[in-house]
Amino acid sequence: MSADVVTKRNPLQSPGFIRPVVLVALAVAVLFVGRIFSEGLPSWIAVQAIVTQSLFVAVLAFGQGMVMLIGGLDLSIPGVIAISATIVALGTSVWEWPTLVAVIAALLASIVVGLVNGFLIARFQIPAFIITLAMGGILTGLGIGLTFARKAPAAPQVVVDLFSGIGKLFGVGFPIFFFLLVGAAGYLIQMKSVFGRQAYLLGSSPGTARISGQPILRVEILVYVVSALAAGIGGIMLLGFSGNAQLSLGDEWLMPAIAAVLVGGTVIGSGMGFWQSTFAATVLLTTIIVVIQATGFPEGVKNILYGVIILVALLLTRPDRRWRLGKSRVPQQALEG
Amino acid sequence: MELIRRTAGNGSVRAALILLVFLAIWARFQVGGLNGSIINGWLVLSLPLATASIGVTLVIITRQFDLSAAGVIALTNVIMATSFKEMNLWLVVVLMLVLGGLIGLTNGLFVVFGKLPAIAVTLATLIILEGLALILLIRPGGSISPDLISMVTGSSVVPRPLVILVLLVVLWLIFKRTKLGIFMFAVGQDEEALRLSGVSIPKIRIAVFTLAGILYALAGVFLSAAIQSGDATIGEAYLLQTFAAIAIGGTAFIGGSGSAIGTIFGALTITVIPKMLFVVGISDWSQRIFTGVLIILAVLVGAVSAMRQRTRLQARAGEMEQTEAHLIEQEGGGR
Repeated sequence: MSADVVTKRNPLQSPGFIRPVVLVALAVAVLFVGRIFSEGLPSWIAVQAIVTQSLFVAVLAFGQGMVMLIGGLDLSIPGVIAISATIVALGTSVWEWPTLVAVIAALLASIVVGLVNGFLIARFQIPAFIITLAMGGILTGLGIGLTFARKAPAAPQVVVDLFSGIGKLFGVGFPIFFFLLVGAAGYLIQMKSVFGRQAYLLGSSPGTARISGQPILRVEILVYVVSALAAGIGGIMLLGFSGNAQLSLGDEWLMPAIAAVLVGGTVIGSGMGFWQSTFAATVLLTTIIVVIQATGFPEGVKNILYGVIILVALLLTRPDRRWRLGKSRVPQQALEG
Repeated sequence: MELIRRTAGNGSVRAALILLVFLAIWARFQVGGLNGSIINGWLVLSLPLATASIGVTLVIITRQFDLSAAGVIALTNVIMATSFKEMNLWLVVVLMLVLGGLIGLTNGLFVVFGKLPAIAVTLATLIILEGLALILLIRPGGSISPDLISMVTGSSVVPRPLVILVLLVVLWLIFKRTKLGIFMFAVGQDEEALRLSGVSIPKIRIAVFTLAGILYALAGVFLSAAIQSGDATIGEAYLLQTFAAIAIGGTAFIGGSGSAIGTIFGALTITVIPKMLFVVGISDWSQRIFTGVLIILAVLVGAVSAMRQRTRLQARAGEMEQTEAHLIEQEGGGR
């Protein structure tokens, strides 16, 4: 590993470049294989549908990926999606707020959720999935409370135009532009910013991060804020996509996001992973799902597929693949040292 | 004073106290008071949750996580509601337990030999099993053998679920003292020390995952009797509820300690919350918030006491080091 870092390599040969290319190539291949199941498959309409759905997965996978990089898991994402979408929809349709105000309120609420998650997890060293699971339950309860005895409120028209794929710019749906925007923003934050590098250090070696004087508590909390904010943004997008704020809006998007992070090669709690591979993995996963849906398989097949994909990805990206040989390597080194 | 502090610090006792308070509120506000059939209904609902949560507790004691309980429960429930109607009931139950054990075994193999994070592996198992359940039974339905229903939910002199819960406690107390039980705690406390003393860590981990799988399947059998039909999405609630029961039961999520008895109290607490809040007149959505906040508080109390213990141990280790240094100094001087 250290040799990789020291020797200057051709950037085209780095895993940060090869992996995304392979993943996108696989996606294209799957799309063409889909022709076996459905006559109209490799089509512009299908591509647009795939990119639109990839947008939602990518937004959520960005936040989830940062959390997984430092060894956590954010299961509050469906709850945040529900509450964010509910605030926007209720705010505009019932409380008659301007759309922008409603959007800002939803994002602020998401940030608060992230702060609470992050503080509890980082300060008291509680397993992330338990806090976020409980938080998800709380948020669902709040969502039910807010929409009590009402039909699921409708999305404001602007949001529908932006994210349903109906609105177009130069003949191309808005979601495609947003998808590229999310890719670029994610790259800048995770791969290039100081915060991103701090998160990597925290993931790969928390001890080093602490000794070198990094603000580890702040970084860890910020990671959960980023995840919640991403889920909040995702919630607004999904609101536009589906047209109204059902509380189950986010349920089916949690798994694809986790799967994308793992397929992209991020190893939980290792500080290893590239945003660009996660980003490319969202396209591959969405393509697989779109093709599967075209074949008309029963609903459960999608779940099974996600599970199998996650397991395969875990096995393929295992950091220490020589486990048979390296049984007691670490203690021995410690003894020799 | 020391006794009070130790009692309050014991997770199981804390859980029992919380349960007593909630039970008292429920009994106070229930119109017409609590009678045998109301209590039995509550226990019937608690039994599957308690059983599944005990399984997760075992895994947590070994310092691992298991999210697959909800999936095993859904799958066993759906299978029992749709298949093997003409087969002997006991044989079906055994078959379900074997299935659960195999799923747990698979989890264990992936985690131990694949060296993969348990949380990711069991998350994958969870959705695969939920998918299988959904394929087998797309809409809730099917039927459960009346024999099983009366066996699990019946109430002759003492409510049947209570008998089963007591049986589980007895089994736990025996298991704790078996070799596997002792090693299970040891793995969670100090894996390295156990390895150095020549115990096979992989075997213990895999055995515990398998045992947990069997318990989830048993929970699925109990749940089938409780709801008397099949529902592929029935497991979903169990993901949060099992961990809630464990948190309230006082098992620390850092491994090495924990108790099935505390977890049973925790499960009873989780199922009494909606009943208590209902009779007080609080709506469904506040129940979810209440439960969520309670879980966070319970985990927080556990985490804070664990942190305190750690600093205390560190302080003691520091003292010992100082004494040692002092002794070495003296020795050096003597020479």
